[in-house]
Amino acid sequence: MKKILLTTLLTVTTIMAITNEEIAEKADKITDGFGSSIAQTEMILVNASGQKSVRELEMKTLEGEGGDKTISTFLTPADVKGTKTLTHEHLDRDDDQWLYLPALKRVKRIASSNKSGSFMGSEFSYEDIGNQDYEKFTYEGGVEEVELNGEKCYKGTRIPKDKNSGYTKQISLVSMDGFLLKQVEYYDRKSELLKTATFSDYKEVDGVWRVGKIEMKNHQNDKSTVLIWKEDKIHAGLTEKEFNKRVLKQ
Amino acid sequence: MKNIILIFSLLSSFLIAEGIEYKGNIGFESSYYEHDITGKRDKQNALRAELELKQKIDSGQFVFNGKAIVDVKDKNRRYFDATDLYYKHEFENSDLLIGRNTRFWGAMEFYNHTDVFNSKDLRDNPFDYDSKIGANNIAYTQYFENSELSVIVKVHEERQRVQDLESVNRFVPAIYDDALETQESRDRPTVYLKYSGSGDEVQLDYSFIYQNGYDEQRYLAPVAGKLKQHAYLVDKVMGYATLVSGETIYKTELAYTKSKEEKVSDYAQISLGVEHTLYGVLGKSDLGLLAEYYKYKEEDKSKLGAKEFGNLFADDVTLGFRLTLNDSADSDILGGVAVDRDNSEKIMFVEYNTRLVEKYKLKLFYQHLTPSSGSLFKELDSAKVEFGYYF
Repeated sequence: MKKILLTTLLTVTTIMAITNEEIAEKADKITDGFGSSIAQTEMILVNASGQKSVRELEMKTLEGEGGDKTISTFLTPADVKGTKTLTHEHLDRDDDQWLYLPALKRVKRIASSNKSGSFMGSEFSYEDIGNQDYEKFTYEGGVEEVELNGEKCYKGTRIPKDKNSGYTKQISLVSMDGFLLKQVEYYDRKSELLKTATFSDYKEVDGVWRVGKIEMKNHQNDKSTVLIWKEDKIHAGLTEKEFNKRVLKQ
Repeated sequence: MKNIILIFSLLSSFLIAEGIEYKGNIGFESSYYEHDITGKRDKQNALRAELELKQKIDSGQFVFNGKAIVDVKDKNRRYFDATDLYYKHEFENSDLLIGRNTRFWGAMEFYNHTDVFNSKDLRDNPFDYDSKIGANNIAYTQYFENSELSVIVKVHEERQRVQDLESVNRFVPAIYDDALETQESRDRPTVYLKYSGSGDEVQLDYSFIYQNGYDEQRYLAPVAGKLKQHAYLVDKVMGYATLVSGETIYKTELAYTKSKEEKVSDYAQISLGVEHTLYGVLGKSDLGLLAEYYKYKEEDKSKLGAKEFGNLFADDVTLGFRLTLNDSADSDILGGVAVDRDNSEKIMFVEYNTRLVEKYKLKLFYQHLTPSSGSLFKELDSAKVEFGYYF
């Protein structure tokens, strides 16, 4: 009984010394400064009956002031090997996005307003995969202190600024020790809980924190997706040239 | 058949070489045709294989892409084509390609007036405009911040072989001879200057192309008792563009061709298209709605024009949809109807693509053709299954 009372007290405690936005900014900044990165990732799709399906992706990212640039290359399944997406992110307007289909040798410009659409058939949406810059949100309410798996976290609410977002709000949990994003609950357009993402296996490389695993659980269809970074190189020496449309056909 | 096996065996042996990237598929296709055309088969069955090899060497790479088809009945459909066999060298802001390859030019979904670099592979499937014959060429491309300029010189005109007489996909008579007649030498270069770019503030991609050399379409005329294809020279200017606004994509293709062959009329082509996507319909699925219009207009009706070239997109509207299920098998359904506004000829089609147990792809396809009176085509229902193992 004492334990329950203690937990309740901890949950409702409002931390006045720091704001929601300041926490988000700190959590964002500790992952900034990687310059460019090359990551080999594995995406495991798990359906409601537990059957698994695996995709492998190479993701190259170039950090930029006005938004990141990303090129993703599908390595498996074999029938989509070589398919690439190139995204030029913009903080003030819709992103530029192209898709390269190797079988047709066709580069197609695609509508990037589809923020809520499924990424590769997974439980991640395009906006979940994209840059989570703290300036893309407004912040509501106070900060609560909660425990997540024995770790003390700040809990706050953020609202996506993007009118095309598939979410009305997100509740984030950031570790008090280190300001690492640990969990996000996503609420759909009907304001119902849609998904929960759990972030883990963080590593600090040259002063930059990199996530190693994200598990996304969809509460409405019981499916989940696990995204694992098998290799992750930062300060990879990539330049603007590697994010030109020309690389799609290479 | 022996040659195909030998070529694929040799190529497969390269796979043990270090650093070679490869991918491919092997499978079968089976079609059934409902028709009342005398002397034509109602089935077409074939084995298919495709293999791509890439070897990077310092600043360049060798690329090979091969396609092999072995039809059960049609001996004309037992062949191998290296659609790509080239070396591309990368410089700081440019690249140079030497060899044989296929390219895609255009913006529309169903048919592209401006996709003229390669001849279509009529032996494979005359209704599949993405099935092409490789073209020998040299290409130099200079890249700028948001644009690129290419000089491409095609150095040989490929002949178009067709399916055998009993195939419903053959539209030329028995006296057809695939030896190509050309206005000048068959190796007379065709030069393309292509400039492509993207908008800075708007989501716009555009390309402009000038062409001097052989036209992609060819006319048929008898030579010594045989019916042959004739390639003729043209000056052509083309352009295509794609503009994204919210969930809608606007597309256009334009071309004007000045013929240097007296028998062939100068002609203009235009395509306009719009694609609007509804996201999250039926759960995670996305529904794309497509509408496209194509026009081919010859300047001199007394000369050869769209009808004589068998161009199916002379004054046509295509309405279609793509339902992307966003499932783990990447399933989608594409369907549509193309209507010729001139004579009411219609082609209705629907296809379903899905992946099975990670390594296998299944495609189901149905098409119904309602010809106009005096058309080259006959009423035809066709159903096709394609199944392949991908590696």
